[in-house]
Amino acid sequence: MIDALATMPIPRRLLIILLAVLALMMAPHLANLHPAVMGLFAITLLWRLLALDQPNRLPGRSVLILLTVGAVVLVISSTGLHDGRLTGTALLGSMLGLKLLELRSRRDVHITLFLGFFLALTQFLYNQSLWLAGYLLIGITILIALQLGLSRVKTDVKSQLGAAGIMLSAALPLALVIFLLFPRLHTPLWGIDTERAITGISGEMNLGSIGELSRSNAIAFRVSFTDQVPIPAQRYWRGPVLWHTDGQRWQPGQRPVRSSRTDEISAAPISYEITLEPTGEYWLFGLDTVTQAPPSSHINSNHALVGAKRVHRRFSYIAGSDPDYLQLELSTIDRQHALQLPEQVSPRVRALVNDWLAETDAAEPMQLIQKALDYFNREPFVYTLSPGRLGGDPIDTFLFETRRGFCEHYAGSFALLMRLGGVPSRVVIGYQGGDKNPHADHWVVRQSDAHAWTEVWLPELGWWRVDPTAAVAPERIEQPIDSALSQDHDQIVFRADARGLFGSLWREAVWLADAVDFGWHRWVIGFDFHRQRHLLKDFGIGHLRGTDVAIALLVGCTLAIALVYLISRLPAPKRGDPLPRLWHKFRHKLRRAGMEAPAWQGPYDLCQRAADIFPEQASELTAISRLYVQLRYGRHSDPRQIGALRQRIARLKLNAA
Amino acid sequence: MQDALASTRGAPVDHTMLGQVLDDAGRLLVGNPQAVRLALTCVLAGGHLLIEDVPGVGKTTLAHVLARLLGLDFQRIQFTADMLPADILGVSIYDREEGRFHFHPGPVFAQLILADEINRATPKTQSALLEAMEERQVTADGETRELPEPFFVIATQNPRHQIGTFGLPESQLDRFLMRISIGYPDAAAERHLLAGGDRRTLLKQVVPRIDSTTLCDWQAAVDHVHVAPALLDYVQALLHATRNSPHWEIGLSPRAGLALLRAARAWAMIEGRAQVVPEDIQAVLPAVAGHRLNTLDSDDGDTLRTLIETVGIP
Repeated sequence: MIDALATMPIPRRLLIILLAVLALMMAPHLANLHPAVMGLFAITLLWRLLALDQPNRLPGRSVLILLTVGAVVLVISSTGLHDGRLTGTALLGSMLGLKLLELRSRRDVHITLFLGFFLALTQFLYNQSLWLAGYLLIGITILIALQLGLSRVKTDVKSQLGAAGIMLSAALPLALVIFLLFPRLHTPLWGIDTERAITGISGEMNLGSIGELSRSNAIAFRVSFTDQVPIPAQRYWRGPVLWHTDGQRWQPGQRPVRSSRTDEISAAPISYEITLEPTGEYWLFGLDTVTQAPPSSHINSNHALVGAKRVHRRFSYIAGSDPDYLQLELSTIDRQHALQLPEQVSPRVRALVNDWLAETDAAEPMQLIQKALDYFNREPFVYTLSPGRLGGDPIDTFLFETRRGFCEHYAGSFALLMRLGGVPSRVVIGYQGGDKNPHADHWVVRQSDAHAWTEVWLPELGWWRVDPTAAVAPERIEQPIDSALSQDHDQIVFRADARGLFGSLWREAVWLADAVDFGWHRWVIGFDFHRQRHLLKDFGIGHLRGTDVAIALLVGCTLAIALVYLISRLPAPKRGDPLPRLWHKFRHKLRRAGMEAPAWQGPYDLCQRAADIFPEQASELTAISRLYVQLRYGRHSDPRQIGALRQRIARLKLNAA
Repeated sequence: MQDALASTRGAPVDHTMLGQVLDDAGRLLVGNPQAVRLALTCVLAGGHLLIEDVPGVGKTTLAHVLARLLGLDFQRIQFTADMLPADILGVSIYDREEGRFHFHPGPVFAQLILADEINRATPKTQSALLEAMEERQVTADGETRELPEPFFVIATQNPRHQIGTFGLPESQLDRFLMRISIGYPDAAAERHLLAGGDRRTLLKQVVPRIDSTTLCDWQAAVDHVHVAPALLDYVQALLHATRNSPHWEIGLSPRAGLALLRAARAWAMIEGRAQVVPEDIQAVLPAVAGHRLNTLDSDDGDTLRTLIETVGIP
């Protein structure tokens, strides 16, 4: 038997929409695939478009075979075979393009549509953002609508799109059950690491490097505090610790070891979850001082948090910190490292420290620290993103001539001054501050919050944090930097709360987008084994294993299907008549004005009574009752008059005489 | 409003004339304008009227006035226990000269009949009248004779003296569109009545406002008063409420619903409206429903009022 539909020509409009939606679905791959592959796809798409009305322009079988071989060669030569994901995607894209060239029967269109769904799926191998998901959902809805159109004799875009929407929403409960219950891997499903150019703090500190970073508004990480939120002055997010300096550059120096005291460290008054953006590095950030490391990472001898792998994708971890924790260990070798000096230190700098030493008690390093901070505070030092060229001996030039610098200038020179005075010191880099997202319960730390500070060794207190930047610009600790404005200004500009209506609206929108994006990451992309266990535990089924999971899945899916079936059997909601609602509103208005307006009273009687109580509105009330009666009980009611009645009721103001 | 009326299909109704009929009737029947209005509604709706009241409150006057104003010929039948159906319908008498039977029409062959104290007659006689009311024709000696058009019966019964009477069964009561009572006039109206001249003299002065043809046109116009679906919802809600109420033995029948709508249409026409509104239903409901419901409580007028106040207008 021949299917009558199969022999019918494919509607021209359907083909055009198909080509357009495939182009849309392919477009995000511009960021991933080799331009040659994208070019091939574009050419095949255009070719098919030109051949819409003249099918004889389509290539013959032999040409197609040649093109296919050519496409395979192109994919292998441009993309190579080392990355299966890239090669596979490129191959799918170009084969889909070639399939368009032999699009003749309805069966071909069906195959192309299925390939289109696959194409959508490949996008998630590269990017899992909510925005892309929304974009692809639109495309998928259109693909389903096209499938429906293909199996109908008469096509109607609007009803097909509606039916596609209904089909997608009917699939939602089932998808939700499978999403929640299907056994998860320990790593997120989409955890394919990509090495990308990443902005973020590097493992060392050059003069100007952090200032450069501060120009970026990109998010470094997000923090959700479990309950206690530290005060702004305690929000130091500790990263790498630098011991070695050559006068211009600070480096880690000796390789830090795994802290031997980790076991003793346990108290953590502040607990939080950090979702770190990709850094490409091993280290993780934690509130100073980290006392509880997340699993699969450790606290090293510098009290910095180090992960097991380089962070190449968004990564969440739970850590605990104690801001009052004292780091009391300093070995002899560490002391030597902490007093290391660059080969050349200018006589002016030495003289400055010697002057201070003469004025202070050598047994009281605090006095020396105070001297140095006073120096930064009293002399005309400027906190700026544009410190200017510092020349051959940057510390000397900075301290005595330019006196313009960002946090690394202050932290670096302060540490050096301390070492010259015989006080062991080191530089810590990380972030300071963070903004609360007003629409969510997390804080956002940006690259512009990148910071460098100093730690000095005090015999009683151990490693003691001193932030010389605070001596120059105390606002830095309380307020975030306005990275956009600071670039144009001589001094750092701190962010004020709002800049006009547009500015504040824009900021709201940015925060909202951040909240949505973070929620998407936490609950969809980051929904891994642990989160699943956690969630199921809340429902009391956290202990499910093996066959239990299978049974739970089966039951859940059955329930989901039953739910959709029951909903589909519900009678369609009646389209409400606007008139009774309007009249209800009118009666409500009368009641608010203090008169009884029972539901049993007819419109004329009611308005007559109302007119007796509100004589000033008598004519208006009569008009309302007449209009309502005409609309509701009249023979020829004009629906356009409903608007007039609505207006009259809305405008009615009842004042008792 | 008059424009709206004129726009309805069928013969246009001269509302000023309708108003004059009401005014004239009201002048002669002081005391209860509502009863007069309901009686006229009943005539326009083409139904029959049952007046239940004590003697001397103006039942006969009402019938007389209506007959004269509407230009109808009038017959009064005083029902008694020894009355036979033939006394109402008429008899065939053998004419010797012509050698065949001649039918002598009874009092029922009039346009407006006042059936006084209908409950005094035997059920057989009662049913003769009631059948004539329903069929609007009389069958005697195997011959069917049409009753005049329009045909309107006002029956009265005295609720007080029930000894030796035959109360109308429910099925017969159903033949009446309405049951009303006139009641005593208030003090001012009564004084006016006492001060005025003899009713009989006054009655003779009444000039017919319309003729029976116009009345038929008016009755036909009642059918064209519009009933909106929303109003049908309301009627249904009312019927439903009587069926679920503890106040009555059984609820209103669908026929009662039709009667209610018909009466409401006529009422709306008297009010000068081209469409029925809930107020019209509420106005005629006690008269239309009262005699069709078997009250379990004592006073049914109040329970019907309560019914109206418990059913919201959808």
